[in-house]
Order: sequence, then C-alpha cells, then structure tokens
Amino acid sequence: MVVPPVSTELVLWASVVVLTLMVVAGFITLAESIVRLINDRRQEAVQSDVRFGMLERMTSVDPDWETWVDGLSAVERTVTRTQLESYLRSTRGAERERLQELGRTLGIPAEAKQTLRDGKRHKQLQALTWLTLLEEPVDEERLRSVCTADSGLRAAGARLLYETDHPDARPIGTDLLVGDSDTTLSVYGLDTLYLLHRDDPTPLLERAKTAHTEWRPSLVIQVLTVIRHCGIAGRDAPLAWIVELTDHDLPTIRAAAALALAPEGWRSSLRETVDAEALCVDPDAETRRAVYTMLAEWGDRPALETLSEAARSETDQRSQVHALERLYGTAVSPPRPTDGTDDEDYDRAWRWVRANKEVAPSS
Amino acid sequence: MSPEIVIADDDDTIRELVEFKLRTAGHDITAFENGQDCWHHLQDANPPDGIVLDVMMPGMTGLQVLERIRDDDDLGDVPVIILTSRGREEHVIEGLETGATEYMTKPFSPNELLARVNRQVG
Repeated sequence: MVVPPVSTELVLWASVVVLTLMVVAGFITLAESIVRLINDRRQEAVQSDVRFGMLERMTSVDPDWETWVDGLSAVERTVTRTQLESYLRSTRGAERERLQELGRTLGIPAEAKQTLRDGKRHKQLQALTWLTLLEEPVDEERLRSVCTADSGLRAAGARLLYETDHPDARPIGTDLLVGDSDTTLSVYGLDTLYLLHRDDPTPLLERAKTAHTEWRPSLVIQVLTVIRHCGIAGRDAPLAWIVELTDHDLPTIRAAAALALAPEGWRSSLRETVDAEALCVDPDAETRRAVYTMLAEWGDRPALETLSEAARSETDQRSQVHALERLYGTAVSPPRPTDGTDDEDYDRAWRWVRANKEVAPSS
Repeated sequence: MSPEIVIADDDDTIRELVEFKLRTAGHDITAFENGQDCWHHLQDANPPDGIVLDVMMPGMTGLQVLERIRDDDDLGDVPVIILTSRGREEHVIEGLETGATEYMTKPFSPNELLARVNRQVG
C-alpha cells in the first residue's frame, strides 16, 4: 500500500492552528484566574466589615436590615450571602430568626422559588437548601413535581417540609423518600426519614409492611435502622413483617431486623412470635451479634438466659465476646469458667470481658 | 473588672460569633483556633473566669484540654462550657463525666450561651 505524501504546507498550517488554539486557551484560563483572584481579593477586603455589620445587627433587638442591605455593594452582598448561610447553619433561637429576616430582605426566598421552577438540578438543590435554612414553605405540589429526579432532591424536598412544619410533612416526606422502590437514601435522606418519624414510627411501619418487598435490600436495611432509633410505636403497630425478615435470605437484612426488634421487648405478644433460640444459631456471625444485642436490650431473665446459653456455645470468638459484654453486670451474669474446663475460648473471652469491665470507669 | 473568658473553636464563624456575643456583653475575651494553643495560654496566664471549648479541634480536642484543666491545681475549679456538634447521649455523658460544667450542642443559641456563661462567672 502506498501512502500519499503529506504536503509541507499542510503540516505547517495544522501546526499554526494548533498553536493558536493553545495560546487562546491559555489566555482564557489566565484571564479567568485573574478575574477570580480579583473577585476573591475584593471579597476578602470587605469580609470583616460585613461580618461585623451582621453580628452587630443579628444580636440587636431591631436589626433594621433594609437600611443595611440598601447600603451594600454587589461584592458585599455576595459575601453577606456566604456568611449568612454559615451563620444559619450554626445558630438557633432569636439570632437565627433575625438572620432569616436578613435572608428575606436580600430576596433569597423569591429567587430560590424561581430557581426551583426553572433551574438546573444542582441549582434546584441549592434553592431547596436556602429555603430550608430560611424555613420558607413551598407549595407541596411544586415540591412533588420538582423533587423527583434523584434521591438527593427528594431528600431535600422532604427536609424542607419537615423544617417548615408542613401539616402533611410526614406522609408527603415519606412518599418522597421511599416512594421510589429503586432508591437508596443518602445520609441526609436517612436523617430526614428519622426526623419525620422519631416520635412515632407507626406510619412508617404501616407503609413498610406492604412496600418492603418491592424495595432494594439496602433501602429495607435503612428503614429498619430508622425504625430501631425512633421512639416506641403504637401498641397495635405492625411488626410481624420485621419478625418475618429475621428469616430473610440476606444476613444483613436478618441482622437489621433483629436490631429493629431490640426496643420492642416489652411486647409479650411479639416476643411469642420470635424464636430467639433459633436466631442464636444463625449461620452468620454478624446476625448472631445483632440477636445478642436484641436479647440484651430485652433485658429480662428469659432473654438473658437465652443469651447466656448462646454465649456458652458461640463458636465465633468476636461474637462470644460481644455476648459476654452484654451479659456482664446484668441479673444473669455469664457463668464463670471453671478450672480445667475444656472450653479455652470461652474462658479467654470471659476473662477478657471481665478485665475490660473492671477497668472501664462507667461500668 | 470584666470577667475573662477563654474560647477555643476551630470554626472561624462560630468563634467570632461567640467572641462578639460575649464581648458586647462586657466580657474580656481571649480566643484560640485549636486546643493546643488554648492549653498553652491557660498554663501561662492567670486562671480565667470561664472557658468555652469546642470538642473536635485539631491537635488537642476540647475534652483533652478539659481533662488537663481538671487535673491542674490552679485551673481545676474554672467553669468550662462545652459547645459542640456532638449531641448524642453518650457524648453528653462523656463531656459531663470529664468535668464539663455545662454542655451545649450546635446549632446553638448565642443568647442561651451568654446566659449560661453569666450564670457560671457570676
């Protein structure tokens, strides 16, 4: 095959074009850096005055933000917004309320609501953050239509409902957070789900009872985790589905289910449906540790005796220590090892736990 | 004479806010952005009337500073207010068991902090 010769003139022109493009790109980068540097310097120059002005007014009874804001330059306004966000995250009480007034004086809520309507995803998230910090309510239909794209937006929408004390924050917020079966909650979403249900998880239990079979395993675990940390559910709250999950194929779900049952030991009817002895011989060590935690939190003699038996026969050393730690100092102390015992692992774990508990100041 | 308060917090925003709030209420403030500098100052200067400590700071945490304060003959009785974002029950218990006089969590109310400081320094 014969390669046609490339003309020298063509190579020259190509080199000139590439070089020109590189020079232009370099100039643009340099110009951008200079503009940013100038902006940063301008902002730094006014930062201390702006901070002082804000601090002075936020701690006074009549801040008169309008007069102050009218006198701000464009750079000072930018610095004020940055500083305002920072203070809103750090404070509560009367000072925070005055800062929220400043946010309204700066026109942030109207701007954020406009962005919610026609902004891009990251701008919408920023807008939701501002509205949450300023506790500015947004129409629920708008939230439902905006907060659909991903779990981040849905969590931000649910949090806004919670922070603005929306009367239907719990059902709508829960809808946003767990309505999509193919989702996994962010840390923010998990925290929001907890805040929505911390006083009474019954509505979440009702929803999860029917929906959990459609959810991804990670979402099931997250919801079980939230349920574990919420307050006590109503007397008739549906918990049977959680008991069923202690027999799930996935050990992580079995473990999460056992932990979710841990605060429910006072329900005798529920206890009757849990086969604690069978759970103590689960093939997965992490699940057994979760079961030991559950039994220890139940805390009565039958539960502790089951735990004591399990500790004795546990084959995983870490789990054995876990069980003994939870038994130590309870009404059912773990049986002491006897000299000449044939179970050296148990003896070692028992002595380890005792030594640790004796040096721990809080024990 | 104005009561002297020492503050240590690595968050500029919070440190300046606390400093401003207490200073405008008539207190003399010495502020630090880490636990180590705060502890060095406490060793060298006269005991202050009160101390406000963050917990999570680089170098030396607020609880480590507090432990040293409680072990020190001159500083042992100085009221210490912990101001931290660590708000879980076990954190509060840990702080109080280490010797904190008061325990406040962030986000916090500057008015409430001032009231607590005033109550401690009389």
